[in-house]
Amino acid sequence: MKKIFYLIAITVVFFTSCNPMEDIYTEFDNLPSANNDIIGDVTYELTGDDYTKKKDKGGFLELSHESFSTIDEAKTLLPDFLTGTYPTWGVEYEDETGKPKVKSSANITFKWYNPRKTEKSLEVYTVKGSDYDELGFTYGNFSSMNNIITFLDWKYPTPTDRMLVSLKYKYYSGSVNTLKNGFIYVNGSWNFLQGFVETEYNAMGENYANFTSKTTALSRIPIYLKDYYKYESKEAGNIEGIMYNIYQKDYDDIDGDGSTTDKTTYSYVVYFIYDGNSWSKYNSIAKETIKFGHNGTTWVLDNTIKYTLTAADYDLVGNGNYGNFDVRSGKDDETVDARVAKINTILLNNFPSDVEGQEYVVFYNIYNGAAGVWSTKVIKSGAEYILNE
Amino acid sequence: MKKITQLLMVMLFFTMSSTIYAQTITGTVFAEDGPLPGANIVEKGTTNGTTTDFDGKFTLKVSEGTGTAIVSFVGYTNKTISYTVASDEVKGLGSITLTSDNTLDEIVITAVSFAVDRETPVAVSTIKAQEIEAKLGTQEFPEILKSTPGVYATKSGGGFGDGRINLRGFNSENVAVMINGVPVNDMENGRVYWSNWAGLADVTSAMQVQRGLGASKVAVPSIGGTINILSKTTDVEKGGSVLVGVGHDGYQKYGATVSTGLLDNGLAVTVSGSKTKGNGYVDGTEFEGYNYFVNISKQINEKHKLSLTSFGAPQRHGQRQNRSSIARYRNAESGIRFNPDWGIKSGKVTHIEDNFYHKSQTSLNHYWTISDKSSLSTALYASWGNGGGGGTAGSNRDLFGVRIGGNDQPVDLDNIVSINKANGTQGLGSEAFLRASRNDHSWYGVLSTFKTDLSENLALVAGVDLRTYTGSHFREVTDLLGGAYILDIDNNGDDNNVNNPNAALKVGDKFAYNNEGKVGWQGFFTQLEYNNDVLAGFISASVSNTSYQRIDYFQYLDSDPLRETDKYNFIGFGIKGGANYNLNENHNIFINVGYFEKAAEFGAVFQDFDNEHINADAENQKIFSAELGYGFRNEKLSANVNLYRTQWNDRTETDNFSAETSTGSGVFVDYFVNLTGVNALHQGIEFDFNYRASDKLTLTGMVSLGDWTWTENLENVQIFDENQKPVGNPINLFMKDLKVSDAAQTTAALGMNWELMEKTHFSVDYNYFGNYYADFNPSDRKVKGTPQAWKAPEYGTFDASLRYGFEFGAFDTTLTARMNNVLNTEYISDALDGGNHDAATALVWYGYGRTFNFSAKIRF
Repeated sequence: MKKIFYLIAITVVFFTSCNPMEDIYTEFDNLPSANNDIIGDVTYELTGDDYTKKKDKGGFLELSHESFSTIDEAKTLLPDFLTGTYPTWGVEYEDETGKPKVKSSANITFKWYNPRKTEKSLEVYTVKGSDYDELGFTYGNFSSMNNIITFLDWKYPTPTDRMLVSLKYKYYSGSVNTLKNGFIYVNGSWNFLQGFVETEYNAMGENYANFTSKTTALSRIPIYLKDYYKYESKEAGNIEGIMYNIYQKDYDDIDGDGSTTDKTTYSYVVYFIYDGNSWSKYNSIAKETIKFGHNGTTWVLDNTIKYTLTAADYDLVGNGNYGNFDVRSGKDDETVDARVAKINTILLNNFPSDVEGQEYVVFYNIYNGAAGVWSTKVIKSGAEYILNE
Repeated sequence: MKKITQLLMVMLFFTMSSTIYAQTITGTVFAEDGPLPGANIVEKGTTNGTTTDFDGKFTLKVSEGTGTAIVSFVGYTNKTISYTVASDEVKGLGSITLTSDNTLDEIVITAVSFAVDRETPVAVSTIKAQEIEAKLGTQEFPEILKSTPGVYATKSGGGFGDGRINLRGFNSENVAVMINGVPVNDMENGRVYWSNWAGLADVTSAMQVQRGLGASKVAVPSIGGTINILSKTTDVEKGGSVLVGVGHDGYQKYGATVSTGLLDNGLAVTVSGSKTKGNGYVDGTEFEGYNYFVNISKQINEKHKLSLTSFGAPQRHGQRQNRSSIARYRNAESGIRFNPDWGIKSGKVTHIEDNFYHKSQTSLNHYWTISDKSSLSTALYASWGNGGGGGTAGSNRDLFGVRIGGNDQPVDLDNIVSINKANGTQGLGSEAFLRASRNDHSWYGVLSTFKTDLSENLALVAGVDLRTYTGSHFREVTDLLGGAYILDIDNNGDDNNVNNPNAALKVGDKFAYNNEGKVGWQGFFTQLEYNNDVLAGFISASVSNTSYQRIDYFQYLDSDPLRETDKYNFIGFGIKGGANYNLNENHNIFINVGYFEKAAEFGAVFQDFDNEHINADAENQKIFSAELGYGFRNEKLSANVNLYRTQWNDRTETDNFSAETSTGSGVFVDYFVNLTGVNALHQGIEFDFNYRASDKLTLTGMVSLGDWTWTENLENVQIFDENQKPVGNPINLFMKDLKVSDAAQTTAALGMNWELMEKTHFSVDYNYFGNYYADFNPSDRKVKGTPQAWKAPEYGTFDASLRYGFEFGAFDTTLTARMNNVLNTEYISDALDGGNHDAATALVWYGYGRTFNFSAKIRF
């Protein structure tokens, strides 16, 4: 009798020590934590305080200036700012796989120090007929920017850094024109600077193809640029490099006549920035917008677009009947490959102009025995969207 | 309480009209496995009788000082005890042990195919009313069998009546359920809906599980086994009982039974009813159910007995239709009680998925003892079912994904209401609404069994089983959710109902589909039985014709001849035999072997839910089963070992596709494919015992080890047309060595029943379930090399109950307290395999945590 009770007692103890779900829960707990599951999406432009506020006063960046030094610095520091500003935000995990399904996102605009180099030295040159011949430009003109670079590399094989070449040349674009534009050598490459022809100077109130003073140049060029670029779709934040001429004392004997007391035309570089309405002199502080996404642990760069399939999308790929993907075992959309193929068709149809590298997280309805919403990440690679795990 | 007492006093007044006799006999009735409650004791030659209490004890005042008492219980041999007792004396008759036999009410046993211990060569477990009363509590009815070998019973989604049972790894389509000998599996799809029988436990006198082929003579789908439920019939004793129960999550139950007892004119009437309601353990599964039971029996004369039984259990309950991932439960505010299928509308809980049904079952049984040798038992029955299941509908069902807060919160139905209201102001209909998928039926049948003794040892049984069934399937609008109407169009914008196009439908209107399935059944069976003292054997054969016909009221014009199909006939048959040999009074061995073919179900014939694409040649399923058994009986121990092997071949596997008659012809022909070769092998060993350690302590236990596997792949099966030209792509199914899913292949149980003091019992039961593979369909395993379905964690649970009996005034009163899952073990009872065949992708239902309930039954 006693033995039976012992047997029962032992059995009880043996079995009670088992928690059936323990192993699975432990496994799940090792997946990315679900601590931050509030989803937020924000578009924000940093203001003065955001950059400079001391950390012990509640700031997150504590910079000395109201701008970042580089974009890389912004990329490095902004996650701290976001984590500090939105502490509860994170991701929503997918039920079935424990992977992030919905991520918080932040579209942050900030200022950064982005100096544009002006000239340290000046060369003035008019391309001669023999130059074109020498380089095989048989029509006696250039017809592409590459032609000009070829010429510059040939003419100035060892340019000094920040050397400005004020170049007068013939250029074919429907007809042959004589242009005078600037090319500045910065960090090992030639950069184009827009110059003006005489009629354009005339339009800016000058009688000759130059300005009478720097002050005049800097006040009139931005006004003129608005008109000058009116047929080009300039966007806020666009920076244009301009070369302008001033007729002045030839301190450096630019004209090569041996005299440093005569007058000749000097060229200068100045940059202007467009604010969406008007142009102003660029003071080396640029604005940039970067998109961040939360990965469950921290904020990371993310150009991902969230997209939810529409009824038309399901129709497009033959899933219009139920408006979902049937992911049950053995059904058409069971494999992720099958779904990505359909998503590819849909995205190519809807967003034909996406550039390579564009990432999407696509949300769609599924049926796996129960209705649900799943998501799949894809990235444009070559001419199609592929799985982006 | 005071009111109840008063009520009881009033009842007492009406019932205490029986004659008071001066002399008394007492005793205790035992069966092999312990005291036998509910046994009848009748003073021979009178209608004076009583029944034993839960300890098997009885006290009967007798009219004469000298006489004979007849002790009886269904399934046991009657025992007669002579006594002589002086006036005013109380005479103890001591212990009376009944042995299982079929001599009592043999006619009943023949008709309902109850198995008899040490005689019928099948593996069997019997659970009697008292055990159900002691242990069932708020569990699902099939769960009472969970300690039986080969059984896997769960609550499924956890709604009231949503329980299910698998036997030896086979689901309800392959488990025959018979109530009083009448088969109740759905005539179209073969399933058993336990919610139809939610109140049946109250009126069950015994429930017998016959595993494997079973003892049933009629053709029933007993691939896994047969569950025989025997309702109460006639109570010998006048009186009745009142039952009150309360439990977890607002569970309340009230019930009463009243019996006239066997009257002098041979008439006996028993009426029973109860009401159950509660909020349900699972969120959003509130329920309310009723049940009624009426039995009127009339012993016309020595040879004829008529019995009319009618019962039913109308109910409505919220359901957890959809399973969720483990992660979702863990993140949910209500944890394992989380249910995605309900919402809030105007501040009230609204069930999006629900079930409401009322199936009444009425049968008139006629027992005719033709002669000493022959008898005829006939059941004429009718059953009507009304109800269905609720769910979502509309062109924008995504709206049911909008929740009040996080994704663990109820669905925001008010949001849908406001959208639908706005639509209404523009003359538009509901985008999203609630519907019910109705599945009504009417079923009439007659089942007649004739038995005659050919010689002293040989008997012949033969009979007919005729049924006619009409199932009505349609959807109806149940809640427009603030909308004005719905338009019943399909995804192509076409009307679903061609007979009523462009109709603006309102609540109660039918939509989507509306059709009838008519099923006819003609079955014949015969059996030869041999029986001498030590050897019993049988051989039986059955044949049945099933006819299917489909009528579609929506897809075809009333004038269209296609509206009603022809009848399609399918023949099934079976043959089986077995023998039991009693080596001596302790040991017996048995063997049974059988082969049967089961006709395909309705859905395999009308696969496309229309009247044009008909699979007229659906294959039969083929089942071969063999079993060996051994039994040991002595006064303390009874034990059984069974070894079985069931080969299930050609599980219904159909496919259909269109193919061009020749490339580029543009003429397409539909092909139906009846694939053979989807085969499973279920084999295993089962052991169970019952040990009476002492008068006060009984131990029970079982171990069941199953090995259930799909056995073959189908590779590159090419379909050919009648000209031997290949059509369609070759078909592949990779399922070899995959474990059969959705039932625990290993189960074990250990139980103890301890009489703490007189009339007070404490019982503990431990149940273990392992090797459960998440549910999957082998038809979907089209890719080579996919692994086993996810194996859910093994688990064990403890249940405990305490019964206390006492005299409450003049009333025999029993208080029962039960606790299920005492340790609050968190476990997965049901899982659906996911894309990665792992825990993360499986969709699951958890079993209940700890629950309790308490009931009081007062007999008068």
